[in-house]
Amino acid sequence: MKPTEEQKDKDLTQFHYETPEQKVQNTHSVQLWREYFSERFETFERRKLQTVSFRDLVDGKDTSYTFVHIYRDYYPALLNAGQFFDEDIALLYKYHVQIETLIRLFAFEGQYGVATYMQSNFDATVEKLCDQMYITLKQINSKKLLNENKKLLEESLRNFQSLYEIPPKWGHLLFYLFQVSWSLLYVEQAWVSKYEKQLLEEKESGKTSQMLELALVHFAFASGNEELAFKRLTQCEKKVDMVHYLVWMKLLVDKQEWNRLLLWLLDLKPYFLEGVGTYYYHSESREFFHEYLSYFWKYAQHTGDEDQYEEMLIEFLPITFYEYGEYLMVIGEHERWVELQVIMGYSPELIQRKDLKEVVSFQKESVLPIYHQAIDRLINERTRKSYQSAIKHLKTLRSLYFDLGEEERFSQYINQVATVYGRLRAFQEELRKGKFIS
Amino acid sequence: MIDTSNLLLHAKWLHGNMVLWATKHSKRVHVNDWKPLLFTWHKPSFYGTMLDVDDDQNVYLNAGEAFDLFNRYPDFFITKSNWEDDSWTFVKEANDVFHLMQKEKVTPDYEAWKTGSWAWRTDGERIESAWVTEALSTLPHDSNTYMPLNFNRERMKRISRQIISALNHLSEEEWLIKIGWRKDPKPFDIIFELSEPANDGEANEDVWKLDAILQEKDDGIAVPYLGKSTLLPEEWKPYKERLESDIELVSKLISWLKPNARKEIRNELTEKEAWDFLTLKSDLLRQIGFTVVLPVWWQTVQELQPKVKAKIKTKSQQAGGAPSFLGLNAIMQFDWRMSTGDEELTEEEFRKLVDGSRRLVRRNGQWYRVDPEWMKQVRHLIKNVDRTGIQLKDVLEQHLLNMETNPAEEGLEGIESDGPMLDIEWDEPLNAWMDQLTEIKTLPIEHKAENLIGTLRDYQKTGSSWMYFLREFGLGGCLADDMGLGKTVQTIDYFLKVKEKEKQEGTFLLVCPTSVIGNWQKELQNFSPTLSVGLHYGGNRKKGDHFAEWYKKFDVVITSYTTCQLDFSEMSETYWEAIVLDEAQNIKNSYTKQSRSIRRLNGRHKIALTGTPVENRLLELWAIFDFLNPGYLGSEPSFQKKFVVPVEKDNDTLRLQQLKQLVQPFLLRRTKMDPAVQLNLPEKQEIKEYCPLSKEQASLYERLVQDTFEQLEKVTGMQRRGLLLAMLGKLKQICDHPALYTKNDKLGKLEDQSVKFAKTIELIDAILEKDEKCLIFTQFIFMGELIKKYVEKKFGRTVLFLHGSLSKQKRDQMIDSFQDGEHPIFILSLKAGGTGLNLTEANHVIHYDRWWNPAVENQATDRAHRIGQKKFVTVHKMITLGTLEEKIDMMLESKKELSEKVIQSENWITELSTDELKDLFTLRKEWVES
Repeated sequence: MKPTEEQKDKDLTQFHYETPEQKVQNTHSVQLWREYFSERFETFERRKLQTVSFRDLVDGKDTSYTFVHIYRDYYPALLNAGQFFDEDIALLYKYHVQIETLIRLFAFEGQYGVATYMQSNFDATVEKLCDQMYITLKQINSKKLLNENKKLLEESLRNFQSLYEIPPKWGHLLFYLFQVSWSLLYVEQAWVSKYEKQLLEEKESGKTSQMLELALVHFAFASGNEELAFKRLTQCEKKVDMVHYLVWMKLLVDKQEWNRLLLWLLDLKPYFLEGVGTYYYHSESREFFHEYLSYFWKYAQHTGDEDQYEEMLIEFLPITFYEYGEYLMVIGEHERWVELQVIMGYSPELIQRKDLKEVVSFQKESVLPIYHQAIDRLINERTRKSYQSAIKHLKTLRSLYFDLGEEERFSQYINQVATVYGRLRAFQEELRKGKFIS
Repeated sequence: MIDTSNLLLHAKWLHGNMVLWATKHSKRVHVNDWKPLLFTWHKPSFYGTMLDVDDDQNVYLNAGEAFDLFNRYPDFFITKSNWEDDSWTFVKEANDVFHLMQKEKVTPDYEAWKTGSWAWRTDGERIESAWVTEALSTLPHDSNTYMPLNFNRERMKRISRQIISALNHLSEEEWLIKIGWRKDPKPFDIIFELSEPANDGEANEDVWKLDAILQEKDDGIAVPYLGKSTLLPEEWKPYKERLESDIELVSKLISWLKPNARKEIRNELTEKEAWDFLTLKSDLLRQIGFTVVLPVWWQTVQELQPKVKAKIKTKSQQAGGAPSFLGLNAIMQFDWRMSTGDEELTEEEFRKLVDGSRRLVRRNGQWYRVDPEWMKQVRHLIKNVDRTGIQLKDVLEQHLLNMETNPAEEGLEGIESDGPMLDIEWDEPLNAWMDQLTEIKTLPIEHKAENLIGTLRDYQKTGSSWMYFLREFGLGGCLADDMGLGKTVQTIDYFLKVKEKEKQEGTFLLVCPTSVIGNWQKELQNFSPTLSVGLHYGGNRKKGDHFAEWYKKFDVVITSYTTCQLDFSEMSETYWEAIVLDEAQNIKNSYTKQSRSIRRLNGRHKIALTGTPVENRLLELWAIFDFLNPGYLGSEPSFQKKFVVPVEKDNDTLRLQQLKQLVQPFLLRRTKMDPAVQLNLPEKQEIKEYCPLSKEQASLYERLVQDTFEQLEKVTGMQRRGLLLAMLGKLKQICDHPALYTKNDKLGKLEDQSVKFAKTIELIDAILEKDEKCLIFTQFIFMGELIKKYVEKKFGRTVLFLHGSLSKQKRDQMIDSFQDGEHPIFILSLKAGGTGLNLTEANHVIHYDRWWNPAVENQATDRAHRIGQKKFVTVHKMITLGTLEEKIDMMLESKKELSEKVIQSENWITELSTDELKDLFTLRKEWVES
């Protein structure tokens, strides 16, 4: 490819680098990296725009330049350009490329808008990018980076502030990045204290915003002061999105800080209990709740503190039915497991076959209530079909009683059923067909 | 899911029951929302599935069951806070006592036992709690709580004086051993064995033997007890004293045993002593822990009291055919038989056997037990039955009540008699016949009669076949199907069947209330034009010889109840082919002249039709049955004594059940909820109730038509239309009720003046009777007022009436009170009944007058029949015969499509030509009440 006139001009101004790419090859300056990003973007965008009429672009008619290109062409190009000996610096570079891409995406959205049919695609792209940022952050050995390249990291933090420019509607995303970055990358306690102090001053000066309040919560979290964090949370004017809570917990799980996690789990319980009502209506609340459950489970797994876990499972019945049932099976509380099925009013066909089998193998007599009660319900449904299902269970029940050596008691039961429901002709017929009565 | 948060469980000890219920925020909770969980581990109730629950969601347990429940329920999910405070004390009490039982600190109370009652002690203190005392005595066998293995609960039930006096010198510990609560330290048991005389023909054939044997526990050695001289094994010797005192105890209980000085006990018994031992003393010994061995045959002989049987022989006309007899009073042929177990003796053989005064006799190696007292009664029974004979009704009664009766006693007296019961045995043909009689499904179902116009539903075929089946055996039947299931068409089919099978020799007599005569005529005409129908009614009816000549010309003669009674001499001299009573409840007052004369009519077969559930109104039932099958339910006074008093005063449900069983073969009642019926019925059903005009109505009607037509000749255009519409309105009023036209509303005679009105009142009566509800639509506010006033006066019930001049608030109040079930009758003026009303509580809709616009009518009907309506809705359309109401109804029927397009209002009538109008309005007089 022939270099254009402009490129030549640039090369002249940046004379000490032979190629622009050299700015991102083993350099330790975020400033340089960003210079490179800008140059690169100008070229990228210019090329794209050469083929598009502005009107078409605004109308979204032309597909030769969309946000997709930013993610598909520009982003990998930046990644490919960077080359570093030090692995952590390489990752830090990657992280800044990701920030750059994110900002460019939002800038595109602000400038040209996104066609409605593309909106969900755009959101997905942004989310994907954020996930990648989280992965990048987790990979960085931030302690080592801090020790060896404190200056660079400080510069990185200053640069991180550029994210604050993103549109307000992406506020939750911004705070997410704030949470993970301040937890995984900018771990220097002195910075935390400094920024916290700065924010508190802002707050005292009368400035209010949710971002400000949340940031203060996070700084309390980052200092390991849960009490303060919870206090600041309750002081928040607007209700804090569940997502943020889950992020804090996720961070604690990642760091395996179980005791702190428990504090968060317990603090959040009333909030979830209140929301149990919406559980069946909003897929979002279901997702949140199951994430919460899985953190609780992880907590119990790692600490062996199962009482808290069980207590929570019971409080959240019926939505924790599967988890609680599984839990009881694991600890071998078969009778209580049966009681749980009874509470749910589950018939044998709704119960996991494997579990039922296991309980039968331990304690046959304890599954009797499940069958008796299912049969009772089916008979009272008063349809031919329900009678037939009842008969099916009666057969199982018969073999259970026979295995227990209580044939006598079973025939006593059949006699009673046949008498009590003597007036249900269809049922009597089915009893006869099943050879329970003659 | 069962949610235990805020769930509060209550328990109360009430009249020997532990009553359980649950509340949430002080409101009752359905048992399904707590019972399954609470009873998860409750074995006695099969985990909560076999419980006594009442409509208020109370669960009833006996004390033992409750005790078991309180000691085992899911206390992880149901915590103390789920129990109301007082109820928790029951749970706690049960837990505490059970805890003590596990430590063996609960024992029966000796002191109480000595006074003949049963109580319990813990740590020396008597348990005072009534329910716990009861609970310990009624612990279910399969409970999670338990009692000592050898303790026999039967001991708590009967404490015999003899045993108390024999044991009351014992120490408490010894007593506990004797009743099996504590283990007996003796290494051996004492066994008494009774053996019968040898059957070898030798002299001592009357000598029974009683041996005492000392048997080592766990089947070791056995030592015969021979009194003091008995040689005991070395290790038993320490228990010698105990043994002696046990033998002492035995001789106290059995005085004839009289041990002599050497403490030997007699071992040769007479037959009388053996009888005493078998029947009484062996049981006493068992109660205090001795083992008693009796001859093996005793068990069988004890269970099998010899039975007296009458073996019925029915002669079948042909092999395999049905038995032949006529009427319930038919005398049956029979032989006497005595039986015990498998063996059957003839009268002769039995007499020989029981000669003498023995209680135990042996014949062919088989033992029989003969109570002298019982024998005396048997002789008495045989003598009486031989005198009175056995009738079909006796056999039937025994079959139906599934018990032995004594026909020698009058009617049904035998049900509670203590004496020997007569066991009637019937042969196969009779058995098969009785099965057919009692199980409607096994009846031979016949096709509909050939000449019946229209189709029959399956249950209707069953109905007419049933009547025909009963007829074959001269048995009367009551068809009591719900209103609207087609009793009329079933009866017509029955008439036709008899005729077509060439079994008809005479004339059918149909007796019905005046108000439905027209209906019958119309229906007979519609369904069976081949049947000739004569009406015996009104001033011109035939009398005396003329009547005898007249009625023979017809297949069916219709008459009213009143006429039938007036012309009793004509009616009763005729032997009718069948007598059918429609609305048979008209003869319910058995002492009235009407009822008595109708019951005395003669006919080959009798049928009663009624739409009300008669089986609950006993005297009415008796009257109807006295008509159908005279004598079957006994005389009226004896019926009063046997059924009416016990059922109505003492609420004796067993009696009621027996009565129902007795009448069941002769009473066929299907309701709309009946599965056999419902499958075949639409969710709403329309019935047209045809009513003739009264004379007064007819003359008003004719005069008005005549006057109007005279004027019509003179006018055209708008005037003509106006005139016509005015006439139309007035005619409708006349058809409804003359008072509506003449504006005379004296309540007294209203029912006489209009059959339509009378019929409506009858319908309302039937609806109120069944606790159902109805909507009545009329176009005339005055008519609505009339019905309201009359019904309120006659039935003493408030009637709602919604019409245009009521405020919205008032209307809403009415609708609410109707929907809440406060008032069963709701009258609406059609116009005011507008849209937006939802009256799903009603299951009857009566259109008192017609709107001539099906859409409007249907809209009104749909007030009752809407989503949310679970009941079947019956729509009654009242139509006066011979009038424009009937005519227009016919037009609507025949030209459905026309009616929907054209007849959007009444204006179409004004477009008709004068000739067409004449045809439409002219009164056809054959339908006027004479």
